[in-house]
Amino acid sequence: MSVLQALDIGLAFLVFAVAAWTIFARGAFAATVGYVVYGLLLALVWIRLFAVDVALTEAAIGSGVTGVLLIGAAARLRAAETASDEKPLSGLTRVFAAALCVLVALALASVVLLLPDQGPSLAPLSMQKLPETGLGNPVTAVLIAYRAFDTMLEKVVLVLAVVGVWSLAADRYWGGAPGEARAASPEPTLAFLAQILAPLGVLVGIHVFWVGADEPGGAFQGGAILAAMWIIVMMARLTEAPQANAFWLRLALVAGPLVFLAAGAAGAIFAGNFFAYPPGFAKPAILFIEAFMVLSIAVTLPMLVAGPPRREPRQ
Amino acid sequence: MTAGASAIAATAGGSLLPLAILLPALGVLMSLLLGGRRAEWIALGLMPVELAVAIAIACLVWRSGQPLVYTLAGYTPPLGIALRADGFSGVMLVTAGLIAPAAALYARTTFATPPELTERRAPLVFWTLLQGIQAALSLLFLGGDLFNLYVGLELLTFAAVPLVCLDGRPETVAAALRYLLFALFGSVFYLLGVALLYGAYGTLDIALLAPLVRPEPAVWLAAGLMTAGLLAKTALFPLHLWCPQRTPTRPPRQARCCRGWW
Amino acid sequence: MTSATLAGLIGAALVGLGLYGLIANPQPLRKILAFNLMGSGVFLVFGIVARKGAAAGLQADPVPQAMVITGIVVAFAASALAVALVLRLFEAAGRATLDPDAWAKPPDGGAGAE
Repeated sequence: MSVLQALDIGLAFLVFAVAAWTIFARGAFAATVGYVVYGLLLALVWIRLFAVDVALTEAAIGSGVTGVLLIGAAARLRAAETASDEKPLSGLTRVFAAALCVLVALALASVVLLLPDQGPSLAPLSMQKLPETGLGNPVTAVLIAYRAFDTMLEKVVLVLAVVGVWSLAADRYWGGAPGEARAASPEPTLAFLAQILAPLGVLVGIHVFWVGADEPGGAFQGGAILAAMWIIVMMARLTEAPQANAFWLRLALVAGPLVFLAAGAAGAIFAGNFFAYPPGFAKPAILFIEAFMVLSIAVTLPMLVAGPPRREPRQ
Repeated sequence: MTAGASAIAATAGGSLLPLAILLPALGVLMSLLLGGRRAEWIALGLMPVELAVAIAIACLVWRSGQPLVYTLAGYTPPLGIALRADGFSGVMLVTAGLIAPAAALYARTTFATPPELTERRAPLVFWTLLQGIQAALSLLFLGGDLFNLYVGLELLTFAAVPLVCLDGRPETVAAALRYLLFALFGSVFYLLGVALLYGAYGTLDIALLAPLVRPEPAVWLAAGLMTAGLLAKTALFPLHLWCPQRTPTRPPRQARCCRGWW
Repeated sequence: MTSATLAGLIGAALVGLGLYGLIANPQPLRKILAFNLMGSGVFLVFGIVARKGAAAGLQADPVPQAMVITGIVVAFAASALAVALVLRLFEAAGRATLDPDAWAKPPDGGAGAE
């Protein structure tokens, strides 16, 4: 057994064990921490699958930002947990549920094992059309060129999520700021971490976005890193979250999908098809759209983590 | 395979299809950006245009007797995404296009912004998410790509859930949370089915898949998963547990809008 | 057994685990965790499909990878909305339970809607 095989088996076992712990752990907080660890291990699995863009996204968004969201929630719900009047499911229901889940997992596993070694693939077609887009990273080409419509609609989904989260504010807080006010004397460790990490993180984020045209990376990954830096600064209370009725905030939130939509419409006029790019002009257009996407993602993710407004708006 | 080739070739008049989806999407973005009373004006202003597009699509399909097809970004399936309008989509589009303004006009009194405020929570959220529902429904009626339909399902869920608990009472928030969890379970199962179908046939386009599909374990499992997922979303027995048990008070107007669409 | 097949089997196991967590655990936050687990299992199934589609000089088919990236972002947005709902429920009523009967009668002290 080679080193890589041993690594794969060890990784698989660890992933399963941590996931099982996340489901069966007693406390919600412990389970959430387990989930963050699980996400990082999963990023390693994605690297073994040679999907580096996905590994970056999983580490940044799947484990990182989702982890912050869930840990914050678990901490705040601790009181609810101890005073819980939940009645757990009866033993019989649990057995039925477990049987159903084992059945689903076995069916899925058998289909996975039956997959042919060299399955039908769109890789040849993607590589064939890649020179038209001027890009070097086929995953970015799929996201922003071949299946641009999907990506644009996904940005709209993010905007709807922000509206949904904001809608949960009390009426009198509408338009105000989420989170806590800026602290007079922020906690020194967190403040130090934020001051050191944030500038470096911004550089790394911009680099990951820029390089994503030709190497693994891209708008989602770079944007998520930028978002994480803003979240750290807000968590250290060196700055406070902006008000929900601030025009610049709303502009930043919709800029990505709006520019994408405008580019799609322009494609219909100049390139004959919605979301098509004029030949020879594809790469600059793609980078232009991606820049605004990075802005929107960097603003949307922290707003989703910060939650609904909890302070009255200042006029 | 002439049947397959003609199913993915773009037809004349197809450019109306993306318009039916992009107009309400633009409305969502502009409503959030401009806010306040303007969200209501944008929603009401775009509705006649969207209805006109829906009627135009339906007429074109009726006259030509063939489905309308549009390939986005100029890439044909399997690499690209196609939108498809057949007779059924045309009818559903026009129906949705008629219900939306009706519901909107009916809801104007409840969701008006009072003159002394620039913006209020319930009206802004209502007018923005209403257009989100329109965009999602158009995508679901016109989508010809399995993953595109998944994005449409998510769009619909995200637009509808906050409307359920718009009044802010704990009972409605709990109901919205139940609905969201079931809807998410449904979409994950649907997505799993999509993964299996792509693994078996290498394409996500429905028209291309139709002649390729053979009875085999991957297809059975995919069909079962996708059906279970979609059943959960429409609350058919036995996955109907998330539907509100009773509505003791008069249902609010936004719930009526949602029920009209379902 | 290649790394891809192993990843696919783990994905299947995670879907089963996540589904069990979604059904069996009564607390909403644990259900959200389980949903995320299930989602990542589904993405691993996409992963094995991508790896098996290695061709034309690429190590993995880019289309499933793009779908997984989209899926991860959508799953995060869904978790954010779900968490906001749970926290709102807790703030408004002092408890976060999904049991419909618990909401049928007014809680003691009468939590008012804000």
